[in-house]
Amino acid sequence: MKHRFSFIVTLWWLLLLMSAGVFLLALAPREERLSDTENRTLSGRPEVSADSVLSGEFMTGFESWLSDSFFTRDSVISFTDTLLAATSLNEEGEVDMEERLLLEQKKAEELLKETEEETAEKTEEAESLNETEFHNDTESDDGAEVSVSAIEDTETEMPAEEEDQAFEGKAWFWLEKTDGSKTGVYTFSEKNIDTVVNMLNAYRDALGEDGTVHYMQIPFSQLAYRWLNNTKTYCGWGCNVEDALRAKVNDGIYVHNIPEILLEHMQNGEYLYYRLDHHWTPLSASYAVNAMMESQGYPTVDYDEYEYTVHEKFYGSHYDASDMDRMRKLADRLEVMHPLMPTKHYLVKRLDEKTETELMNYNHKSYTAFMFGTRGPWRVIDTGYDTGRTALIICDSFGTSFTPYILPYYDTVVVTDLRPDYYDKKAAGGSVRDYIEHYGVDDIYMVMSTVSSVNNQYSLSYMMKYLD
Amino acid sequence: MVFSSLTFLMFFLPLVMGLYFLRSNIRWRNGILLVSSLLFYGWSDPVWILAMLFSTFLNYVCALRIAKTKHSFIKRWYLFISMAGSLGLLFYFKYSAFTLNGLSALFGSDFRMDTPVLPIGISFYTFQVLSYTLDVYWEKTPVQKKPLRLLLYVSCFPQLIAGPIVRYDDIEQRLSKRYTSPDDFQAGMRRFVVGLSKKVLLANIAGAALNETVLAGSGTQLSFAGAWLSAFLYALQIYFDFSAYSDMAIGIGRVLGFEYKENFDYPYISRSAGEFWRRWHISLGTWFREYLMYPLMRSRIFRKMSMKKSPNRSKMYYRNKATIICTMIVWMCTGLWHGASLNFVVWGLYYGLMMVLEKFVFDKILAKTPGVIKWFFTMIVALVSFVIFYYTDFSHVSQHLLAMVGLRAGEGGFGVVRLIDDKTVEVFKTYAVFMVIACACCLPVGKWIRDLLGKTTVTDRTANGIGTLILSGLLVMSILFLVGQSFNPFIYFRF
Repeated sequence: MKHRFSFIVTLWWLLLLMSAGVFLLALAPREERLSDTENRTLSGRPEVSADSVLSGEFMTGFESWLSDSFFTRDSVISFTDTLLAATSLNEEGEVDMEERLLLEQKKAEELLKETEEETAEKTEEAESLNETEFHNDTESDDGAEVSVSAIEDTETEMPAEEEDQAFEGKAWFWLEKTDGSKTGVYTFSEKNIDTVVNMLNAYRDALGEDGTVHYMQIPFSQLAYRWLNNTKTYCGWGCNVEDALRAKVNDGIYVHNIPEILLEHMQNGEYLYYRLDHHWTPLSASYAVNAMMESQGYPTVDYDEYEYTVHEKFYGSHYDASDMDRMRKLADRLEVMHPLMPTKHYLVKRLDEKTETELMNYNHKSYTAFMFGTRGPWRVIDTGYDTGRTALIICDSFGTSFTPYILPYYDTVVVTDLRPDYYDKKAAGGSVRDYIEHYGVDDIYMVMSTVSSVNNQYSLSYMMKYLD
Repeated sequence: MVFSSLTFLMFFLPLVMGLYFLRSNIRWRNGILLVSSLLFYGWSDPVWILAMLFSTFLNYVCALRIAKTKHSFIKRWYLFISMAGSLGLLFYFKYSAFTLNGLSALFGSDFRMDTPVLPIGISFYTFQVLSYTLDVYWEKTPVQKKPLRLLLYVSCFPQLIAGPIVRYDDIEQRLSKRYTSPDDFQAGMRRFVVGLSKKVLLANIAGAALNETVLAGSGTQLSFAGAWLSAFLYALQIYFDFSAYSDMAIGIGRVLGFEYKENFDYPYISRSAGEFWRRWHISLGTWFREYLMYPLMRSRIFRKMSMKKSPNRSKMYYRNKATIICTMIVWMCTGLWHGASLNFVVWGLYYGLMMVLEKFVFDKILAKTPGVIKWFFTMIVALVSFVIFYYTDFSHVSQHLLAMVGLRAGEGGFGVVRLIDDKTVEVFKTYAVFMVIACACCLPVGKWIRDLLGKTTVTDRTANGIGTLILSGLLVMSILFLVGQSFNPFIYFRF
C-alpha cells in the first residue's frame, strides 16, 4: 500500500460520518421547535408512511430535520457566518446576511438624500444613518431611550433608480419633514403594481360573490424609528401605492393604507413598534384590524378589552443581529393577548390532517410568542364565534400578531405563510384554491410587511404560483 | 438524493461502502450497488424509477435483438425502436410542452400544455443507454445479456443524475470484474471531498453572491459593472457546481472500482471556444461528436454535399459547407439537450457560430494572436454564453447583454446604463476575497504544486499525507457550511 496514512484517514472519515449520523438519529429532538436565532420553526422528525415515502415528503423532511437538528446548530451557523464575514472587505462585514440585504435600502435612501437641496441637513442625515450609536432625540413612552438601527428597511424594495428622480406621479413611500417637504424612501413601479393587481383580482375571483380581499403592507420598525428618532427632522410618513392599487383592482378588493391608519397614533407617541425588533406591536395590529372593520361598518373591540400575558424583557431581532449588550436597556414589552372566546388552533397538512396546538406561546419571550411563529404549512383556528363566515389570512410574520384580533369576526380563520422558506407545498397537499374551497373561505386578508409586498416576489410571484 | 446532503454523507455513503466491501464477490457488490443506486435515484421521487426502468429494458431488448439478427433491415428497425422509445420519453418530459405550445402560438390556438415534471437525470441516462445500443449496432461493443448489469450501468449512482455521461464500452469489463485497492479507496475518497468542498464552499457561496447582485428582471436597473460581475459569479457558480459533481462521481466511482473519464479540465484557462469545450463537460462533447457529428458527416446527404464539384467553387468550399452545417446542427442539439427553451437554442447556436468563426474565418488571425489576448476573448465569449444560459426569459438575456456593453433599451431607443451601482460595490467588497480564492481554484494549482514538489525533496507519500489532512479540514468545513445551507441542489440536476 503506497499511501497507508491517507487510507486510514479516509476510512476514518466514513466511520466518523456514520457515527455522527447515528448520534444525530438517536439524540436529535423529534418535535418541531422554535429557533430564536433564525426566527423560524425548526423541523421535527417526519413520520414514515407509505404515502409520505412515495410522495418524497419523508425524504425531504428527513434532510430538513437532520440539518435543523445538527449538533449545536446555532453555534455552527454563527461560526460559518463569522467566517464569511471575516473575508468581507465591507465595513459592515460583521453583519449577517439578513442585515446585508437590509443595507440595500439604506444605500437607496442615501442616494435619494443627495437630491435634497439642503446640503447641511443632508450631511447630518447621512451621518445619522451611518451611526450605530443610540440617539437621545426621542424618548419612548416608558422613558427608555429609543434606538435606531443604522440599517433601514427593507429586503428587496426597489430603490430609486436615478438620483434626480422626481416623485410626482409615482407610487412611493415617504417620510414627511417638519418643513413640509418629503423624503422618498422607496418607489413602486407600474409593472409591479399591475402584477399585484392581477394577483388580487385572481384571488377575488377564487371567492364567492360576496367575498372580499384585503391587502395591506406594513412598514418595518426601522422606518418608524428613523422618523421617531429624528423628530426634529421628520413629523410623519405616507404612502400612495395603496391609491394606485385601489384605482385598478376589481370590486370586492380593499387595499388598506397602514401608514395612514397608524399615522396619528405614531404622532401621539404610542408604542406601535418594538425598539429592538423589526415587527410592529400587537397594538398596531389591533388598530389595523379595527380601522378595517370600521370601514366596513362592523363594531370593533378595543385593544384594552383583551387580557394579556406580559413579558417585560423582550430582546428582538435588532438586538440579536447587533449583539450589543448596551442595547439590553431598551428591552421591549411583549404583550400576548388571550382571545375572548375559547379557541382551538390546529396545524394542518394535506387539507384536513389536523394536529391541535396552543394558539399562543405565552411562555415565550420573543415575537414567536404570537401563534408560535410561522409554521404549518397551514393553520386553522376555530374561533368560538358564530358569524357564519370564514377568513383566510395569507401573511408573513407580521400576520401572526394581526390574526388574533380578527378572530371575533369569523367562525374559522385559516392562516398560511407562502414564503418559500416557510411553505411546504408537498405537505400542504393542495393549492390555495383547494384550501379556499375546502374551508369555504369568504374573505381573504393579505397581511405582510413591506419586505413581502408590492416590490417583493412574495406578492409578485409566489401568491399566484401557489393559488393553483 | 444529492451528494452534498447530510443524509448522503452521514448515512447513505458509509452504509453503502460498508455493505459493498463486506464481501468481494462481484454478484454481491453489483447487487448492493444496484439496490443502493435505485434507492439513491428514487429517494425524493420514487415514481421516476419506472421511467428509467422502461428506458433500460427497452434498450436491453433492442440491443439483444440487434446482436442476434444478421439482417441489416431488422437491426435498423430495432435501433429505430430503441431510439424512438428512449428519445420519445425524453421528448415527452422535456420538449413536448415547448413544441406544442410553440406550434399552438404559431397557429393562433388557445391550446396550452403544462410542462410535465422532469424526471431527474433523464437527459444523462437516456444518452448513456442510447450510446450502448448504438455501440452494439455498430458492433463496437458486445451485447450485455444480463439485464441487471445493464441496469447497473445505467443506474450506477455516482454518475446517474448529473454525469459524467459514461459510455458502456468504458465500463463494460468493470461490470463483471473490478477491484478496489487501498490506494484507489483513498484517492477516490480524497477526490470526493475535493468535489464536496468545491460544491459547498465555492459553488454555493458563488450562488449566494450571485443572488445578491442585481439581475435582469429584478426590477432594478443593471449597471455596466453589475452586469459583468453577475456574469462572472454565475461562471464561477456553474463551473464549481458541475465540476464538483463530476469530481464526486469520479471519486466514488474509483472507490467502487470504476474508472470514469474526466469531465472537466480547467476550462477557464482555454484560449479558444473550441478548447473551452474540449475542457468543459467533456463527456457531453464527446457524446455529441461520436454519436451525432460523425454519423451526420458520414450520412448520405452530407457526404454528397462535401463531394460536390462545381467549376466556380473549390473542393474545400463544399467540404467546409457540410462541416459548418453539421456543426450548427450539433450545437443546436447540444443547446436543446440542456432544456426546451429559446435561450438554450440560442446558446447552442452561439457556440456553434464561435466554433465556425474560429475554424473558418479567424483561424489565421488567431494563429498569430498572443495567448493572453486569446484567453481574454475566450473568457468574454464564455461569460456572454453564461448570460444566455442563465435566463430562461430571452428579454432578460437581451437586457443583461446590453448592460454588458453599457446600454439599456427604453421606449425611446437606447440609453446608457450606470457604470457601477451600490449593490455591485457591496457584493464585490463582500466577496472579493472569496472571488480571488475561487479564481485560484479555477487554475491547475494542484498540478503546479505537484510539479514544484517534484523538484524538491518532499516525497509523494508526505505530500499525499499533508493533502489528506488539508482535505480532512475541508470535509469538516463543508459539513458545517452544509448545516446552514438548506436546499442546495446541483444546477445540472434540471437537465
